[in-house]
Amino acid sequence: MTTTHLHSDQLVAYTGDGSRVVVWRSEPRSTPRGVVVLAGGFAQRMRHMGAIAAYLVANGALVYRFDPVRHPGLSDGNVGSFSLSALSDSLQAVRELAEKENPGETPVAVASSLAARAAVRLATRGSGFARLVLLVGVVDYRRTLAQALGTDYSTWTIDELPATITIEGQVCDPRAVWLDERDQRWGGAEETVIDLLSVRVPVINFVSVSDEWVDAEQVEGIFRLGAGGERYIVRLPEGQHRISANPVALRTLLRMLTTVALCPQDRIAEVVATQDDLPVIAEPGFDELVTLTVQERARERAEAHSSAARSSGAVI
Amino acid sequence: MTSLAPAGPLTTSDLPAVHELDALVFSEGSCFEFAEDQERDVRLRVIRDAVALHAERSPLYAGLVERRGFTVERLQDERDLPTVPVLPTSVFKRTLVTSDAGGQVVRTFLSSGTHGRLSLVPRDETTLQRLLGSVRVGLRLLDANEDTDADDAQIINLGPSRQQAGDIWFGYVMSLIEIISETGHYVVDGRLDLAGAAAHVARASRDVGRAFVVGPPVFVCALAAYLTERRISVDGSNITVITGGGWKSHAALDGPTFTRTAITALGLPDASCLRDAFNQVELNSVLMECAAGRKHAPPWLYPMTRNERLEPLSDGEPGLLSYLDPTAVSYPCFIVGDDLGRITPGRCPCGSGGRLVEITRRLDGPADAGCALKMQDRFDLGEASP
Ligand SMILES: [Zn+2]
Repeated sequence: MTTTHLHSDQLVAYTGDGSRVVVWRSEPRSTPRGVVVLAGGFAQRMRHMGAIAAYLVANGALVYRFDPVRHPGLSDGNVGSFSLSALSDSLQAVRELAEKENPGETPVAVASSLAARAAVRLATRGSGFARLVLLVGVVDYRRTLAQALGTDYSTWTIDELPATITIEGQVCDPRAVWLDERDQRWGGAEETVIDLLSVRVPVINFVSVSDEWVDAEQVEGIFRLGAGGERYIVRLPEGQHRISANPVALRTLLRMLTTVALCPQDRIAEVVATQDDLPVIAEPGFDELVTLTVQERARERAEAHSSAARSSGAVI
Repeated sequence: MTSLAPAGPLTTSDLPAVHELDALVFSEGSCFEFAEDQERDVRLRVIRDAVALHAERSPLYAGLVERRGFTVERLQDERDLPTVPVLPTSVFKRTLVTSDAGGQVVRTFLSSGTHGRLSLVPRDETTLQRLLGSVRVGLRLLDANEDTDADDAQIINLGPSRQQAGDIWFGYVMSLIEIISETGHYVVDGRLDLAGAAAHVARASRDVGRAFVVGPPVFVCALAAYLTERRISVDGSNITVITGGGWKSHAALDGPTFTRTAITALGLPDASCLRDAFNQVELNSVLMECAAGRKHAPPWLYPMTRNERLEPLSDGEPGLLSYLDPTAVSYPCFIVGDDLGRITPGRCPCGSGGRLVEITRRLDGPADAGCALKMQDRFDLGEASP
């Protein structure tokens, strides 16, 4: 009965500084309809993106997902030194890997939460992505951090910062975050508008109206101002930042997300507007998704153990 | 529903609203924290919607509703809920009760056992998702779900894996615990692997993370006996035992004896580390015991008691347990079963909401007793049969 149809090969991509980014590549059964680089938000590992990957692959996408460096998961570095640039560098490395493996194909980015901000930045560089599909995509990095931390540390001086900060249960060094925010100008809403003005490709953001991290009205304002190309907002009715908590809502969302990620570009507007008539898509079932969750958690654990064993062997 | 607002190159639209019931079943916070009147209002609304749905979609239920002259408009207050027509669970043994017209059913589940007729209950994706939601909500009474550190917990399931459980409901529901953390399943090909389970328990008790031992009481007893006989000492300060499957009719397994045996063998700090969960194949929600030892219905579920003529009884009056469960889409889950019990009036001292169900005993004779005993029939208990 319950075998999962999603098979993933493990690959490695490298960031500019040589850090290892561990990647799971999942191929559809037939010739791919498109290439997708799938990026989770802060504290989301690639195994948490299994359901989205399963939907995309079931509908013909070749999907690359990854654990960023300096982040929980299988890649190099520790979350203690997390920065948005580390996430962005990881996304960039995986995009390059996907392009190298699929010459002539420009990948679509499907990026959740903080990873969305990184995807927008990468797309300003011209050859980035064919399309950005953002899931509760962060558009005001400073505000989101302030919401998550209860304090806007960007207004503090570096000497005033506490020894550690905790984001989504992960303990990080605020200096790494603070310096990266300043040096890379991730900034607030204005910086995103500036970035978006030079993003020519379509950007679709799925936003939740009751999200404490991302303000739906603010996204709309930023998308109107940052109209370097087609912009779309799909509002989710319920739930907070982590829409994945509600599988019944998630199902509607994933149908839509899968369709806008894979449809021809000239159909996006129609798909967003007439969602009632979404084409019938292949959907992974309940048992398959439960099996996938269980198998990928076990796989991550096994990989982490074997890589720990390898590195302790190297020391000896 | 869809608003198209073209202003420059920005297009916006709205995804359809999520039903209130799903917002509740899949809420991120604890849905046991409603004020009493708020909980009553929500429950009334979601049950009313469900009754309307099944009265339309299930020919069998529609017939019952018509014979009783019942209309959904009557449901104005929680006090009206006992008037909702209910199906005796024996009906599920005689006929396929379904509200599915469109081929959405993914699997038809069977009650366990080898004696008598089996109940057949068809479930679709949404029904299964909500069942899993109710498992997660129940686990919050144990401060355990996959969003917490429980991701690093170890689970010892004295039952089959989901694959091995197949369509047998009891094993299937128990196996869903694997969603919260890595799980060892110790009923393999119908045989309880006590040595494997005992080794896992001993290993887990030396770890810093939490551990959960899940299974029918007879199997937990078998494990306890095995540990004791082999003098395997376990420091279970990090262990919670979750039992399920119905067992009170088994004379050798009265509550206090079971509690003492399990505490001693597993080295549990106290009885609050033993939690009983309740479900049956016809019911789509799970009732979990809190730290105070009470079984909480999730806030969407309306449990009540009835007399032998199936007439509603007041809270506190012992009778046949009956449930209005709005989470099932593929069949009408408005049922009266075989178990005797009562509704404990008022709020639980633990502070969590939900109606409180006390299950006294199964009505059926020994041949048709609880699922756990049927599982005992089905499975070879290995070398340490209790
Ligand atoms: Zn309680």
